Amino acid sequence: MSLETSFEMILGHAHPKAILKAALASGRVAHAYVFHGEAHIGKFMTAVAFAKTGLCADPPFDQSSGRPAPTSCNCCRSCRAIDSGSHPDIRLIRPDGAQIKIDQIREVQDALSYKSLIGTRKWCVIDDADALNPEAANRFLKTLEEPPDHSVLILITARPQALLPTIRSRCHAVRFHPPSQQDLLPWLQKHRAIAPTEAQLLAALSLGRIGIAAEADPAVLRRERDRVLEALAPERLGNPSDLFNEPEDLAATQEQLSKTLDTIEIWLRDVLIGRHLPEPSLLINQDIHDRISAWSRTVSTDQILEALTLIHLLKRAAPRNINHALVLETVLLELRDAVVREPAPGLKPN
Amino acid sequence: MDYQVSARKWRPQTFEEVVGQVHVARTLTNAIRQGRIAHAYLFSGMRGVGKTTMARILAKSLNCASASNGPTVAPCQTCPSCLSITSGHSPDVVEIDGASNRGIDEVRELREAVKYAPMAGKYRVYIIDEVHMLTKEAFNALLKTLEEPPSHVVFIFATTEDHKIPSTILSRCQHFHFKRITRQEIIAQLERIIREEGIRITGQGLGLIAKAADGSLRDALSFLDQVVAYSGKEVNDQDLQVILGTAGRGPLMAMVKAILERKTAEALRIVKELADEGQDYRQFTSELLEYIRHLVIAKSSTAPEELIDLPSEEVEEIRQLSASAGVEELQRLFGIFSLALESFRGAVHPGFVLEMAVIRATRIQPLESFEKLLERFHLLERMLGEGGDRDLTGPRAEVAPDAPAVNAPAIKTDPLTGSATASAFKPGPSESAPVKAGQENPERSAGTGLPMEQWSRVVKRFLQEKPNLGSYLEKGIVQEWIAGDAKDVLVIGYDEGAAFFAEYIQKEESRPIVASALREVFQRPVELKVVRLERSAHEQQQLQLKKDQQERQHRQRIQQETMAHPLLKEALNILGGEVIDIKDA
Repeated sequence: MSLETSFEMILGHAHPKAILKAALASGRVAHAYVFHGEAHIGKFMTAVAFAKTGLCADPPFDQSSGRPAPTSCNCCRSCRAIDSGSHPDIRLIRPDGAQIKIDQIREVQDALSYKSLIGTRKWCVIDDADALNPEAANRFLKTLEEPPDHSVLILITARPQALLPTIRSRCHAVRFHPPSQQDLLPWLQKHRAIAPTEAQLLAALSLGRIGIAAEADPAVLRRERDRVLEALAPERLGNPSDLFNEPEDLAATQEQLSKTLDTIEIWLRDVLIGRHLPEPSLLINQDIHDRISAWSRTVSTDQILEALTLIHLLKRAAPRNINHALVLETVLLELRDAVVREPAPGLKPN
Repeated sequence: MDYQVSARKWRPQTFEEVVGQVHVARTLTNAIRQGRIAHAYLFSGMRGVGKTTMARILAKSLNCASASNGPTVAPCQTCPSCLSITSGHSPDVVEIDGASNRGIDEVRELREAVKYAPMAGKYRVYIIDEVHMLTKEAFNALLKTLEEPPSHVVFIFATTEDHKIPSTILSRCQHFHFKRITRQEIIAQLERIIREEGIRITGQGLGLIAKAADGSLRDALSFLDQVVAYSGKEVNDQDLQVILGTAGRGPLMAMVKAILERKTAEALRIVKELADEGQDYRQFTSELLEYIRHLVIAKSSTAPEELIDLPSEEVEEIRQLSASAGVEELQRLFGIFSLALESFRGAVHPGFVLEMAVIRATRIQPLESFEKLLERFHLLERMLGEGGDRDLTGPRAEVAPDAPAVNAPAIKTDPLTGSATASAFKPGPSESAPVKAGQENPERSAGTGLPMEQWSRVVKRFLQEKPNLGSYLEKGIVQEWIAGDAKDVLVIGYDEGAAFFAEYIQKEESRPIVASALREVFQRPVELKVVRLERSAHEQQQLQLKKDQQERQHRQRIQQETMAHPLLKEALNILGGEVIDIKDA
């Protein structure tokens, strides 16, 4: 796997980068970090860039401070080894199945006990650290508190509250935020050969999740969104036979359902924001803001808040074994009450 | 030497240095002085409060070589034993990670090992950290050893989760619970460290660190390291806010103000700014909750300074802000944001959760306090008691057209009570019967000249609405009707035996109720006069007869009126029935 990255290549994350660079520059690199923030926004790549910079054998010299600058040269042996994913002093741990198991942690502990081969420190990046099972997490505690000299552990998670408090307390926490649409847009235009309108759409719909924006096809995203919004059209909601005939694949699987609910949630959020703030730049579905304002005019705030509460409730219940289609229908019924003024007519004979 | 984090560098080496656990340190030092060393200790408490540290100090005290006779409360830190413990290489102090060595096999090895005498010192000390991770079998295998270990062995267990320790283990150990460290203690320790290290942080900055550390000294030192790594030895409060992710009180106050003033757009813009500054929404929400809590305290307590852990000028600020909000309103805001805090999990984007909570919060209607509502309710009651003419039902005009049409005519055509719904009394069925329509007050001149009809209606009404007052009125006999310009006077007589009832009716609290009922039935002010009757038995009989006769007349008239009603005639025609009885409802 290619891990070609560097601080310069990473989009956004000004605060985390500043914190990590300052630590490198001052030689105060802590022995354990937790990088936390939403999924797919670049935490893992930042961790690799951090390690790469820390390991770089020939960093550019910073004239102003008279010391090596906290950037990687990207051409020394160490940097190239990292780019190709073969550096012996970096260890990457990912969940084995759904969990990170105790054997994986034992392996880390073994690896850290040896001296580093090329660089000065040994680095270990643990992705999805919230997947540590209790045995593994507890086994890790002593290592996180007092690891062998010259080692740096980086835990990465989108759910920091799922980590043991004893783990969090042993690490320096670094918070990551999704890059803004404004940051994402030029990056997409530069890195992906797509039309400006498509880049705009991608920047908005990905909600700053650069991991998604970098790979998703904007046409697919748009189609998927429009299919969900179609089911929300007042004339469909008003007609029970249409309402209950929602396209099956909107709630075929757990994953599909949660995608659909996310789309509805973002839509409702836009309707509310559109009502209270005049500037359209804060909307996610900017490309269809006329439809948003049409809704804003007819639907009451309270009804949308009701619907959002319901969606949150159902999302929390969704991982349990419940009927996906039923969940979607419940949401649609709630929305029907919000959108359709007239009491619904009885089922029309076809 | 590699860079060491402060929590390791500043790990206390003597009992006195341990922060915030005086109760443990004192017990242990006294035990050492008296030579009463237990063979097993359990240290429990939350993360970063000094459990492992205390265990190592105890181990040092037991084995310090420079102490001439046995354990010492002040290990020298210079002898080979002390030095080897500090560096973690002592042959006699075995530190075991309970989470990594949790099985029965490891415990078996341990049982074999404890038999051997210490190499250098007097004790072999086994420190088992994270002991809650031992398996059930491992704990059980340890029981016998723990009960009667060789005299040279001391076990020290440390854990954050003492509820996971079997009671059989607990009962064999001296259990010490380590407390959370207070903010003041954390600040004092931080001050000591930054002085030694030549770091400069404002007092307010230290307060922020101590607050974020939430009772754990290790967390506090970890934040300190982070901010020093970020901004060097001169730390300003902005850098601290970046590291801690706290918004500072500016945005918090602005948000609370916007919410209290119901400025939705303003509040949403603050959320947007938070994002631009890289603030954590969840943390902002929990800080907002704390701020609302402060506002409630400031409103409900006479001495908020004692309960709000903030500098006095901020407390004053909070007090001023709290003046514009009601406690009920703040409670509801608290509810909205606690719910938001729960919704972060599973939300598509945490920013949306905060946005929605803010919209919700700016929409709550300012609630009136219960006392105020009660006051208004009483006022309303009093006004109704004085008579229903006042316009208390403003909004009714709008509601009326929407009201179901079925029942409306019966109420509206009532000639006697007018806007019946404003009255304290519901119109009795007899009044609302259409028979009466158009007959304004025919009864007054009819019959005996006394307003018997109206009086009985008044009585009946009371019998329905306020039975006891009604039954008292029933005992009265109408004596006289004096028509006047401003008001009429109705004289009611009570017999000797009914004096109690007369008194009750004349009571302060009954009079206005009776007066308003009279006024309504008679359609003009009527004063009720109560007199005492002194009569012979014969007269009494006569009176009773008279009363009965009046009653009969009244019934006859109702019968006639009813029979003459066109609706009834029509019904009899169509259905071919006959009238058997007419009841006065």
